[in-house]
Amino acid sequence: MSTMRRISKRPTVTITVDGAPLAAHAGDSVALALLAAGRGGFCADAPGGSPRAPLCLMGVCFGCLADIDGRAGEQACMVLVRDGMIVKTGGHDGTG
Amino acid sequence: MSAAPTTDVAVVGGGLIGLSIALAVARGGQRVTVFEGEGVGRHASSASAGGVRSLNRHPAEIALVRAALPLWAGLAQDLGQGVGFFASGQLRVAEDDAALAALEKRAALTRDLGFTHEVMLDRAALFAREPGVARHCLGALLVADDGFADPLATLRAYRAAAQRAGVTICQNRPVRGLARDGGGITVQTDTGGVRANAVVNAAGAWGGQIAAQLGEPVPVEPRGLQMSVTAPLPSFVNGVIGSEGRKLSLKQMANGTVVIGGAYQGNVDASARMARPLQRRVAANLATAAHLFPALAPARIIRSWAGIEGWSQDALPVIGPSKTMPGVIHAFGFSGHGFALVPLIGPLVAQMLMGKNPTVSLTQFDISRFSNREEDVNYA
Amino acid sequence: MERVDVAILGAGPAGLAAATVAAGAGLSTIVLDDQGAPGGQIWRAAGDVTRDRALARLLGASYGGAMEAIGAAQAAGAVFHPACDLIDANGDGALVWLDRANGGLREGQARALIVATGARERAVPFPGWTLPGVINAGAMQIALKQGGAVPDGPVVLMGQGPLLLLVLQQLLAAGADLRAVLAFDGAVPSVPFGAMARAVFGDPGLVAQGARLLLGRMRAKVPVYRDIANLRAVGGDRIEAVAFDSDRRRQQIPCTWLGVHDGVIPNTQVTQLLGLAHRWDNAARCLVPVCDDLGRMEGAPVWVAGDGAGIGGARLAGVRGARAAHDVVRALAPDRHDAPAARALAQTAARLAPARALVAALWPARDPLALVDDDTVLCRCEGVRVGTVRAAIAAGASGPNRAKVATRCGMGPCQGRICGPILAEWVARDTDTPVGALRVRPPLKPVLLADYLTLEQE
Repeated sequence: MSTMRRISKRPTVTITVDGAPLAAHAGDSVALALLAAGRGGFCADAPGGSPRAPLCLMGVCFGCLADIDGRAGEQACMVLVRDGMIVKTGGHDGTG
Repeated sequence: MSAAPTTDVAVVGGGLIGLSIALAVARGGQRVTVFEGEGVGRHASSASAGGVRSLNRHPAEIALVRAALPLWAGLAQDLGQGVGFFASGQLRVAEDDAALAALEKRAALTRDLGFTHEVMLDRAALFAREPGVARHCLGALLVADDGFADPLATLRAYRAAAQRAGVTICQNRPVRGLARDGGGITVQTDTGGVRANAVVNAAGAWGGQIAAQLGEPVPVEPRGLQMSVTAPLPSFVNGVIGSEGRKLSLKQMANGTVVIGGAYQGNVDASARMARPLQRRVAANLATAAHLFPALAPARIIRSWAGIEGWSQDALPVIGPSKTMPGVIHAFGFSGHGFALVPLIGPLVAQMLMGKNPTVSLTQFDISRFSNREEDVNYA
Repeated sequence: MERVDVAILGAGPAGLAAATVAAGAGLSTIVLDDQGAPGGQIWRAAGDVTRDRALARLLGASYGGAMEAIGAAQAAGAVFHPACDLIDANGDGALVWLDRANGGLREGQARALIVATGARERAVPFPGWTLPGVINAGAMQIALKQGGAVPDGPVVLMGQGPLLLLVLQQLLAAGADLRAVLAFDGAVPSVPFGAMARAVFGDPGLVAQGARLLLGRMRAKVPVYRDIANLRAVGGDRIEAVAFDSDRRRQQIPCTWLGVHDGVIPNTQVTQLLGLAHRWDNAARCLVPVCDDLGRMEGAPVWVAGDGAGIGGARLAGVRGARAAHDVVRALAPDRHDAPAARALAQTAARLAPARALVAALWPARDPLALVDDDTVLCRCEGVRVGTVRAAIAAGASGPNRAKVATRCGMGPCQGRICGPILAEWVARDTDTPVGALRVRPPLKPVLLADYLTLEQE
């Protein structure tokens, strides 16, 4: 399994990722929500289109860039999920 | 006492101008040593916007830059590796009637001087050439064979070619002075002197200090021209774009990044040899760019910088022999637009060193002009 | 334009302690932090974690003093600006930041700047480290703290250092399927008795915690491999296994998560941007700001505190933050300087120092290039490989900035935060020159043009 499971109970927040709904936990960063859902290599800015993934989840590595609510190239690890949020990824994560 | 090391020609300054001169002189069979105070191309050369522009040049420089243009087309072959030159064209758009009138006046001036490279485009022709430009624009002045190159690639290519031609490049070796020494000149550095038959002052923003030390002071102001660059965007512009009456120079590189400048000055700390961009001016520069190109709306700025360049009082370079120390030739103070001239300055200075008349007249750039100056016009 | 006496960058233990002292002395004080809540990395999501029973049980030990420190800074009157990314700063105390909560760039002007930007995990590249599923062990802990998220599927941890030992315990307690630990330190590191005695005397808590963690690894029913060579993360779209030699035998362990950690290094982006002096610490293999005992840097009204001034750990960070702020008060409002408190803090710092030195001695930084081959990516942003950089250095790139220009290594959006220290050390070693640093230029993080347009123009 390439997902993460949860050991704490939080309200669910639904965001839209590349057109499909994705259930996240309140308090998640967008990057964590994607990682936990098994979408590891989502970065929109991968050189040569190869898979690229977040390394640090704390704003250092820039391996989690995504388009969030129309803002291109956001650090997904620094933006918390919000109901109705629209996320577009580079799609290099093996999920098509 | 052992004799000081010798070289035929010493070049002070390891920027693009110095490297171009060193290469040309070495190809003429002379031993050349370049003295660079920091690293090769540390200041203006690596901070350059890379514009290869004859458009809207100072009348005194038009012949020079038109002679340089054909050299850019063959430069990669000449140097043995790419310089990223692309004859994209350069355009200066008019955003209102006053700007349009100013461009037409400029076109007439150039024609009267006998040049035909600057061409007026009407609205339709502008949009046909640059579909991405905002619809409020009324026309543009175009030089179709202008373009841009990659300053870093150009630096690499010149450095490699100079080294292959036998040029010795000494980095982190600032020149402290020049001293007459019998029939030659001793170049003084912290780690000893080097004797040369001739010396070229290509010290950029610091060229004025060397001239002053020779007793022929030239006011050279170190300025830090701001630039910024975006993350890659889909292609939206072909040429290098300026705007009449506004401070802007914009181009999109092959990798999609957009380089935006326009003669905004950052903070210069001359003693620390550092320049820093001012974010309010970056913002002003970006506002101008975004007004002209709607496609910039989603852009992200990844870096801004300012590189130190030497500005002479009339914004023209000093090129020609010293009047006070025979054997010294000056080539500095290119005032923010020396990049386009780089391939030509080397051969011209090499000709002067061999006692020949340069194939393009350089009389207007002689150092003696600072004793009786006339006017200052900004042709950025 | 927000004009204040003191601007503090970072709301971790150092920044919070500094804010408490500065604001407590009546200086107008703002604290900028890129996270939405104060606490820094160590006390990340402090409110959520302490309220959640499962997380509090798992992580609570690390959060001792968190709510008190946050409350004290607030009570003292420090103004917290959450979700702010510093964009530019200069030595005169002028700041530009992106306010992500409210949108747009903001400007500030402070009489004194306290840089408390903490630490980041050291990157040690190896073949396959760019595969999704390979993440910092610290990032695994962040997932736990922020979202109670535990890697599902087989997990391998590798590297060294106290944080790795802690994450191992936390993952085990959270029920993670831990398959192996690839250890780059010894099972029971040996230290001189004198150093140990001083550490125990000065900070028994830290030493006891370290002993517990080392013992925990020994007791865990997880195979520990040592003498690792020829390591490679294997996979297609993400990691499927980690392959390596250990004791000269080839191993391949299937996993969907590989947590890597090799200690932490100071975040020096801000102090570098300010153009202030830094030195290379040979033992810690990182750049460190040059400052006096109180964190004051030379040439500007700038103090640096906490791990950003050189790794010292959370407890020492709080002490250093408070000391720096006392010095700021002494400089800006001498009549309000609390000299006895400052002296007491100096004694505390001296007492805590030996235990910290012990930690540094137990886990010396290792060669960041020990595991790479020519095909290994060094710069993750630009996809620049080790072989390309090797060729550039051989061709005469005699400093990190020259190597960067020649190869684009460090030119991507992270601006060399990951690869920069490796590149700097490598170039210096191969050219026998002092270790340099990649130049840091504004904006410190890429900024949308639309955000720039909110700034006053000139």
